[in-house]
Amino acid sequence: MPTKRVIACLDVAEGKVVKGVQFNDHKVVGGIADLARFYSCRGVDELVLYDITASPDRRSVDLAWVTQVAESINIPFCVAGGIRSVEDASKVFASGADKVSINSPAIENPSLVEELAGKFGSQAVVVGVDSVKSKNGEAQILKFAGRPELAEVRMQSTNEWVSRVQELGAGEIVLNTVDSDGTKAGYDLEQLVSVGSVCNVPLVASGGAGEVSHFEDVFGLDCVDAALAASVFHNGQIDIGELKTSLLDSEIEVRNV
Amino acid sequence: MICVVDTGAANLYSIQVGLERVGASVEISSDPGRIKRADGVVIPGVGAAGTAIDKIRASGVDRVLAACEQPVLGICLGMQLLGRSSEEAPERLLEVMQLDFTAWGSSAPRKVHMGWSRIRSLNGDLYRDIDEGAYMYFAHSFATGLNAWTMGISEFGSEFSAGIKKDNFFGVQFHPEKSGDIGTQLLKNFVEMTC
Repeated sequence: MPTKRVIACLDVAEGKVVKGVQFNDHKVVGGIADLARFYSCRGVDELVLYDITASPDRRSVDLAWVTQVAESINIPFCVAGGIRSVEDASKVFASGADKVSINSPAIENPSLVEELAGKFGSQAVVVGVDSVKSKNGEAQILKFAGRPELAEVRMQSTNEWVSRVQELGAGEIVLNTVDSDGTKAGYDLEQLVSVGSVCNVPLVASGGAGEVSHFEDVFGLDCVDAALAASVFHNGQIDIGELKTSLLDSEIEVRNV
Repeated sequence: MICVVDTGAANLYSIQVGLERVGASVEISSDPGRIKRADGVVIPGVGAAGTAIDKIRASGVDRVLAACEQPVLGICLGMQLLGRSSEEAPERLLEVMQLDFTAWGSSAPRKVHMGWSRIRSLNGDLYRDIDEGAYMYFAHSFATGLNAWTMGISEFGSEFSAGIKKDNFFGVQFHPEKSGDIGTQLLKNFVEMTC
């Protein structure tokens, strides 16, 4: 097996990296290329750059900073935000990205997953899934999570959706558990195990990282390949180099730089 | 001058940036004459083998590539193109090495091998200053087992060729341009072979 991967997510708005709590209240963290370079030097395994206002604004991702990031780092990165056609994705790849992640456009048009996988290969197509627990306890997908006033719960179970997008060719799933996102109380292990039972492609945990032990907990799950976090890295609470040393001490295989 | 063959692959820019980072001058081309004259040739590739080989055949680049005498490096799908066949494509590939690439079988833990894995049994100039057990970044759904041309081994449920070599032809299944400073070292080693 490859190592467990630590992924830093850079939420981008208006050309800067921002952070928010449960998608609200964004504050500027820093420049995109500078932060990409910083995390790469600290040993992050991959970056996700998420243009958080692209999808709600119904535009595709801003390509200028995709190029800057490609020139600044020598590790893989994934771009997310408003990619709703093969043409949109093609431009993002041509600007140097390794993967695209699609979320709400996949819900609107599931065949997009199939088209992208056919054209660029499954390994380049990530489907991001925002998942919430409904009143009856079943996890359901949430659409348009980038802006709270636009979010809507879809009456489709998360597991069914994850199965569906894999059949269409998704090569990786990022499961963002919205209830735990921003809480810093740990990843939602229960939902991850549930989704892991139907996931044959790499599964990335997202939402809830607050301390080193949360990474140890989530990497204890066989079904989880990678863990994504944003604010704990941005506010300096967890240093990626130190995180990796701790994980190695706990006998979790990670890449040491 | 390193010529990156325009296979129509989506990641040409990443490869170009990776090579330029180690001081190479790079051109991207599907012109047989330019490929022939280059000091070194890189065959990139992501996506589907069938699409890539069709594109190469259409421009007549297939014959030029197979006849190259300068160092040639196939990366990921570009390595697979150096083989004979791929399970995902009905067409014959470049057949520089008689290798067949297949989808991961039941012993593999996932359908896609994605992430950082160790490589070992490293020797030769391409792996100069790269330690046994170094981590490289992989993202692929097809692979070939160990064979006479294997140069570098990795493991995903079972052992497979992380790299291959025959004469001046090299292939790596991982992405050196995305494998951090160690991957950059490999690109540097390749570029130095062409000087």
